[in-house]
Amino acid sequence: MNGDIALAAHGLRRSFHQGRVRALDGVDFQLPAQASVAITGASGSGKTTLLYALSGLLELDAGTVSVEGHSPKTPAHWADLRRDRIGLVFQDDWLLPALSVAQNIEIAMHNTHRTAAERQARTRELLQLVNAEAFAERRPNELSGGERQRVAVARGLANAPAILLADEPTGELDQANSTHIADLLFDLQRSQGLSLVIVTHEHTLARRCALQFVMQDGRGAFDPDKAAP
Amino acid sequence: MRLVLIALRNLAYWQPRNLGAMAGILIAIASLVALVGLARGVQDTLLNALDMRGTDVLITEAGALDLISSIVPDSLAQDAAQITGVDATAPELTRLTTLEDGRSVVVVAWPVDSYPWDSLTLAQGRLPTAQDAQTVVLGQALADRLSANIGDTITLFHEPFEVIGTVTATALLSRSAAYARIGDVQALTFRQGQATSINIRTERAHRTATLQTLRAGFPDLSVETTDALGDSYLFGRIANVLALAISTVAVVSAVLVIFNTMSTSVTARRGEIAILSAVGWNRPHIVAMLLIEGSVISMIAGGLGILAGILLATGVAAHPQIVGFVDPVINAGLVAWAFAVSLGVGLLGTLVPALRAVRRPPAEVLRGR
Ligand SMILES: Nc1ncnc2c1ncn2[C@@H]1O[C@H](COP(=O)(O)OP(=O)(O)OP(=O)(O)O)[C@@H](O)[C@H]1O
Ligand SMILES: [Mg+2]
Repeated sequence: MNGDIALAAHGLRRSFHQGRVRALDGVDFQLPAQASVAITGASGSGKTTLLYALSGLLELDAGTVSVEGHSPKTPAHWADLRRDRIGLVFQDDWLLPALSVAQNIEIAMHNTHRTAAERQARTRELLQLVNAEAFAERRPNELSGGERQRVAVARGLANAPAILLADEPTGELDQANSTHIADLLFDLQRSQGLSLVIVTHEHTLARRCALQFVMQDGRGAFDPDKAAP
Repeated sequence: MRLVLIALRNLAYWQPRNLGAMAGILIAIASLVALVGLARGVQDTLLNALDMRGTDVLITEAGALDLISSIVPDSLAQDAAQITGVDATAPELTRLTTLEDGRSVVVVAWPVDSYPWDSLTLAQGRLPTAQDAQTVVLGQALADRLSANIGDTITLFHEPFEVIGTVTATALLSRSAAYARIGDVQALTFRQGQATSINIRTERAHRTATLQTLRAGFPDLSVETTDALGDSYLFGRIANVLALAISTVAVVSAVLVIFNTMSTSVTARRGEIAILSAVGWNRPHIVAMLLIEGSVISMIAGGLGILAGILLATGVAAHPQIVGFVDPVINAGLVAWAFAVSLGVGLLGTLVPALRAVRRPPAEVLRGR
């Protein structure tokens, strides 16, 4: 797949409050397959809104998104892509309160080819990857912010996606865990060919990405100091 | 995890809103069952009692408020007996009197040896004979209430009556009544020669024709089959209309309460719905999961509500002021209907907001959490 485009977006527009807030004001974006892109920018510049747009969770005023060359037209198509091809890690972890940590990871594998036993095995594997085995049976409200964030990363990786969109995945983590999660993601990028988009305020993390996309007031551009896509 | 398991886990994670939803449905279904059961009971009690007597046609005063306020001459019984197709007749004088404990009791009086006595099944003692004076036979429920035994004396119409027998009957009103000789009751209530109705048993084969003949023979009186009786008295009609109104109100409010309850609890879960969508669940699966949860809640709450409704109706019917007059009619039909309302409206109340919720773009919901 080298040389292909994992995600491409053109002319993304979305405003809120009767057009007074332009969260996306004509954004063009590209994620080359197996590449890593850091999205940076001030608070409120539109980073999260862009991730929502790239994963089909947002209604756009204008613009198109294509995933691995296809432009999903229906919510069902988008849902299938989020299950099979795109993993998501939200800025707030968005775990389901009724389910244990393990079950929260397992639900991402609902309605996939995996059998129950395979899902459980995969869940254990993921819990190990993010150092979360110790609290696998606890509920989200019994976890710290950093612990929840690791669970969210595990859930995002559950179906071995081709693309991972992560919104501040290390924002709540201490130095050691932050490095561990970042290492995990870049390992997967190298070994599995995961295409990576990471929204972050952390310079060290941004610098580890091959590309940097800078958002400002709903507009965005690749940092020319880093190699252009 | 299977869909059902996830739904059950969500339910097992007990939240106040689940409890609230169940309480709402339970109360709605309980009042539906109790109100409809009681309303039907009021309607049925009188008709059952007449039916049990083997009476097909009743002659009463036209336009009477109810059976007890009608007055006709008791000699009509002999006149009616002459008509072809009439098998047997009996004048009946039904009076309400107050017992020493302050409660009302229905006293039903017929001539000795007339056919309605045959409908009573003796539990103990005997029926009145021509030689008796001021003797009474008690329905079993009344005898129990008064702790009266054979040989005891009770006061009816301010006069002593000797208890000579107790009888059982299927109709509650019959079990709760006292039975005496028409002569005694006529004398004590200043109604010599009067009856409240004439009971008529017709020959089965000619029932319709006989009814026509009777109507032609007694044009100034009300001649009604016992089936149609409920409609022919003002109080009967009022009871029917009230029963219909109460049932309608009970059903409509149950529907509204359940719909609203379930909608609220789905709407409260928009965040979870958006998360499921974000991790790749398609809409039908999310809706199915919510429907499973909704159906479990409505079935459990509906079932408990039916039980509570039966208890409530039984409790109301046992109230000292009305005990012995109303037997709540809660049959399999009503139970099935209440369960169907609970489940059907519970599912509809889940489906409508669920379809609305899955259509909302997740980004809007997730941000608002
Ligand atoms: N659903 C919404 N309703 C109203 N305003 C919104 C909505 N979503 C986003 N906005 C606005 O759009 C702008 C961009 O928001 P966004 O969350 O994308 O910023 P961000 O770059 O992710 O910020 P942060 O770094 O603080 O997470 C902000 O001004 C925000 O208030
Ligand atoms: Mg953000």
